[in-house]
Amino acid sequence: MIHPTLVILKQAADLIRNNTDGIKQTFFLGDNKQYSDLPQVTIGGGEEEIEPYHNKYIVNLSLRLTWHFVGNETDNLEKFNQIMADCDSKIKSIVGVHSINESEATPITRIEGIEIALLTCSKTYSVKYIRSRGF
Amino acid sequence: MTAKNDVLKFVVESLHMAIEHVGPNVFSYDFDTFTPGLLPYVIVKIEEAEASESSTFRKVYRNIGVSVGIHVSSLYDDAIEVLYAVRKSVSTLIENGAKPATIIDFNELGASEIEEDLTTERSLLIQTIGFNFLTRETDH
Repeated sequence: MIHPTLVILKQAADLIRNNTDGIKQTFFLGDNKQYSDLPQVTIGGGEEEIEPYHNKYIVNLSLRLTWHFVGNETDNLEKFNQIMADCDSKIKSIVGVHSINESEATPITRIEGIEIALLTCSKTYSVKYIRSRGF
Repeated sequence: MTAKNDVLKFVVESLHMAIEHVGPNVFSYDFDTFTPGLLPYVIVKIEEAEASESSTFRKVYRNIGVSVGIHVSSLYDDAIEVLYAVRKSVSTLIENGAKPATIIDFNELGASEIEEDLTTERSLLIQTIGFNFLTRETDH
């Protein structure tokens, strides 16, 4: 049995990888990322606030998606927004949790100081689920 | 400070005793003897948050916070899977470990955001999980 938080993160990755047009690569934090195949999304976050609930825990998990797009295609902002909206609907379809809410979003910004032009954006979701103590 | 020592000893021994169950190269170290070459590793760092009170029965209750730092190298494929496997093992060991009589209750408090440290040759994934132990001992 794997950690319930990892189950949620992997579910998010599978939903985006298999069902979202436009995303070329999906990564987790710690994966060796190459910026050769864009657009791509990285799944991260992982902060948890845990409250005891009878003999279980209520977990408030912070799940963050970070997108990277090719930076010189500024006339494709509409396309990028569509890709992010598709990912958003996939995250909202995660099963096995009590609630999913958006908690924070950043605007699309350019990454400066590197040879290739990259645009980046992130969105954080607050996911609530219940798990048992000690597994 | 018997209760604090009991908590520290319990956490370190729970993790140390089960090296072979947590995975290859998993050790518990004091935070100041940290060795990046032995990854993944678990750093046990005790951060104490005391809230003591005395009752008419001369008992002292304390809330003692314990942070367990988990560091995983991206040398491993799917480093995030390794990180959560270690996390699950740590939680299970602490939940199920035989606790000294001074510990009367405990719970997990949460986990920090997963950090990716890109300053080293191989990037690291770092997450800290927190536990709170409620202890009771006789006030002398």
